[in-house]
Amino acid sequence: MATNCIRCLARPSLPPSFLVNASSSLRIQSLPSTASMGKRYASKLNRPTTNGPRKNEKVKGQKTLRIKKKPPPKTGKPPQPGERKAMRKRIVLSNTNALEVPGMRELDKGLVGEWEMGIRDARRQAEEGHWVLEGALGMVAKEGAKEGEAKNGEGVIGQVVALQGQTVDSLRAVEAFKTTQGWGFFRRPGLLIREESVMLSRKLIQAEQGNLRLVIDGERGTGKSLLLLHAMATAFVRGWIVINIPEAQEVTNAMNDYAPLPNTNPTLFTQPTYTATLLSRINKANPILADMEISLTHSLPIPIQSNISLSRLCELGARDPDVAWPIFQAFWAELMAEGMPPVLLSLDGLSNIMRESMYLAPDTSKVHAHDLALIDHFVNYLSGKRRLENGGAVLAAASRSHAPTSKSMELVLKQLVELQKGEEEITEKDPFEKSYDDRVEWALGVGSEKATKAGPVEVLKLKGLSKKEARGLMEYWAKSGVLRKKVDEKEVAEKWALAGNGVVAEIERGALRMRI
Amino acid sequence: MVFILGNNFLENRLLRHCLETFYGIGTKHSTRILAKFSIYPGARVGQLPTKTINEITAELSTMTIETDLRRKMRDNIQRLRDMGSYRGRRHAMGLPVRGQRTRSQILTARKLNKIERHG
Amino acid sequence: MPPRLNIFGVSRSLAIRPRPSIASHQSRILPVVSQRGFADEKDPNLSKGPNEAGLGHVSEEAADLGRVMGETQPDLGQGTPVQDILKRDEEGRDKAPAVIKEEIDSIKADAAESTSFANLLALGQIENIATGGHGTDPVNVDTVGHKYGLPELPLPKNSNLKYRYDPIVSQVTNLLMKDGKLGVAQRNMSFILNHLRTAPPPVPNPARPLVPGSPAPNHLPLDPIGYLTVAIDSVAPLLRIRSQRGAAGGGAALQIPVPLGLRQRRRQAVQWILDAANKKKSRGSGRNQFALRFADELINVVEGKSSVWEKRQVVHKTGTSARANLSYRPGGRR
Repeated sequence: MATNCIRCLARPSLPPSFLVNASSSLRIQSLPSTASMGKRYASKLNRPTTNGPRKNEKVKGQKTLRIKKKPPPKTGKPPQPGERKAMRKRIVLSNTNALEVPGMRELDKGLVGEWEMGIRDARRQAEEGHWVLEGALGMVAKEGAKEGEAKNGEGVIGQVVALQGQTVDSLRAVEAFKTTQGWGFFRRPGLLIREESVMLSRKLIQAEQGNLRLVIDGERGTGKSLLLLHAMATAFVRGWIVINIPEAQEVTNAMNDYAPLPNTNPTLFTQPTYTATLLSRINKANPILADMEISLTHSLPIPIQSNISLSRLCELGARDPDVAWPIFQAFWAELMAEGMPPVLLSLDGLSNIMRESMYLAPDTSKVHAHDLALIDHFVNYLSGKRRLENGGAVLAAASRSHAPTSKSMELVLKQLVELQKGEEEITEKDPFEKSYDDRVEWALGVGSEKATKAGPVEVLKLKGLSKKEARGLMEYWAKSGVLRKKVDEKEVAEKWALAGNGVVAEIERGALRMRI
Repeated sequence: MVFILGNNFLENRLLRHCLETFYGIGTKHSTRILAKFSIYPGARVGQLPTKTINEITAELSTMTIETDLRRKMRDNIQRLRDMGSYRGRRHAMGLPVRGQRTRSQILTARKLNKIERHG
Repeated sequence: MPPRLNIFGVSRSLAIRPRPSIASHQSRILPVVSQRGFADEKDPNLSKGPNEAGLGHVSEEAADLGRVMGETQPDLGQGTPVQDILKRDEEGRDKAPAVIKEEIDSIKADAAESTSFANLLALGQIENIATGGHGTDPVNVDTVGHKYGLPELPLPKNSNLKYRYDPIVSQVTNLLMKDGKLGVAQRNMSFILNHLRTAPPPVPNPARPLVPGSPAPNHLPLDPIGYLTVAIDSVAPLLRIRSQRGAAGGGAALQIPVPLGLRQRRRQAVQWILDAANKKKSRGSGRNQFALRFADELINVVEGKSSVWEKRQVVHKTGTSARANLSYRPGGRR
């Protein structure tokens, strides 16, 4: 029973019976304040306020809960704009606590050279009929493989090789490393060499005389982005020029400025700021550009000297977003000129560019991603409409986490994988599905009469690691002191099986992140 | 500070939000204007070149917004009132115009419905 | 009113039945051997005469024969299967029923595949030689024939799906949990351990000694669970103070130190560290900020910088000064 005043905890001066009625019918608020409150409080209310009316003070006698909030004590200086994001996106490539792994091979010219030797050997032996040629590439030794297999760089399969310092710098510049990958656990960045990586490297080496158009696909966590990174590392070692779009969604999600490109039909849209940053990344990642001089004449909106290096050209483009796109085109024309090194064009997150972008055209319709000039450029080479003149490769990795679905892309990739396997029944289009997109099919080199002569792209479908590769990886972890367990057949088999038959991200999660 | 159609805006404000401060421009019109001049939705007023700002101002000046729109609306109400229609009467009485019940919840009508309507 | 009597009804209830309606369970023919009465002797053999004892069964006979001939006798504790007898008895083998004959044949066919101990031993020896050892090397028969060997017995106490993590890890994870979101807590825990692993090795403060037997500080980062254990156990209080109201006389509370168990001590330490971590300000953004603050606080604890040490000291001091109250019992002072 509330026998005390709620505010001042003083006993009431009214007879208890009255108070009981009042409080029980919840009419205490409408009572005259001087009657219900103690004398002390009444006098307090009548006292004239010296500081003028306060903001919180309402009508006399009205009950409000007044709690003065203390401002939180200010400690240190607040973070600068962008500082916290930079911290979130920071990529740490070294852990000084981890142990140095002795006897690690490096991904250098020697190793890549061995893979190159492997191609020649395979060709020769295929002529002799010892080895089975797979697809267009003689590389995979099947049954009947002779000794000397290990000589061709296949002995390194299942081992972790270190990346050279120069390669690491370049890879960092093209933003090939991602925050979700566990680079920060180890002393120095290393890459697991799996069967597919050797295969891809050999395809790349062969592409120096031709063109490779390849899509890397696979379930979530099977190492698509890392295989792309491996391809880039190989390309850097081989002295290629690498142009990488690290996150396709950054290009299409309308977070950068855009402008229509005059005299194009259908209208293309350039992205000045993004192109400028891309040029600066290219410049940073490919130090060989500094030694190359301009050989062609270009009509650019800004005057340039006739004998500047390509690096300087990129710098000019990176400095001024307004001229970034023309300079990118000029730069590309230089790369396609005779006597230039091969080029690797790569993109991660393919499904983001296989749909409409978030940009709006002047008539407020959505701009298809292929109408963005940069993506248009990439897709022209992926579809085979245009050729890389000095050889090279166009690689795209699908993404399976936080990626939009593109029905057409899913279907085409599925069909291509089935074709590669030589299955009799190829999946057909769902007749009731409306969201198929002809342009996507064209971009992947299939589809209607619009498809290019070059034929469909190759698809590399990644699966889980083999047990041997899983073991090599886990041994590397154990040698680095990160996995504190005996790596034996049983342990490997357990982790391998629990990770959905060797899905590498799941092995890592099970071994390093969950059960430490 | 950036000057658009007689108003000053801080440079770090989103252009979209600046446009939506004008009476008669909502999400739809701001999106349309941005798309017309190929400006991405995250653009801030300070980033835009003066040329684009002038173009936007020109675009806005062709639209019926602010005072013009208000006057137009008042004229419409005045017309209803002048012809002595039920709707005009309801406007004058500050009551709902379109047949709503009036037992409760007519705050919006009370606030807005006047002959000299403001908002 | 008396019940009505029906004289005719009485005769109806007295049915005359010439035969029993239910057949007797007992056989009409008396058993030849009479059953034992209550007063008879318990051992039925006693009733046997000298000639009534027949021959023993085959095994017993063989045992007797063996005793006489000085050969190995069959184990009488187990019955001898017919197949064993037939092995010795060629004449009987021919006359054996067809089923047993077939069985004998199939056993012969399986003999090569069956695994006996000797077989396993031999396999193990072959394995030894194959791996480059010598045939006489000791063979671990447990692993032979099993893909991954047999588990070591007795099984450890926590070899169970529910005890997947180290005890301290699961306890701290549960303490980090908010709103029952175990998955988030586990992610935080994983981040904490990985942060401990990558952070530079701590520099302990000699004024704040760590728990005895803790490894050298530069060994800590590579053993994040050990790091966590050292941090928590070092700062864990040994006791708590229980306030018994009114026991000190005059309504004042009597402070009684109560010793804590291992899990209780760790819990208290984690709570203190959590308090300290919650008071810190995040430096970055993203969803791992809480875990980062907690991990930083753990490092501070090991380096002796944390305010948690003072809390521990206060509890211990109070406990020391209140040790006289240990003898307090609710029933009164004894």
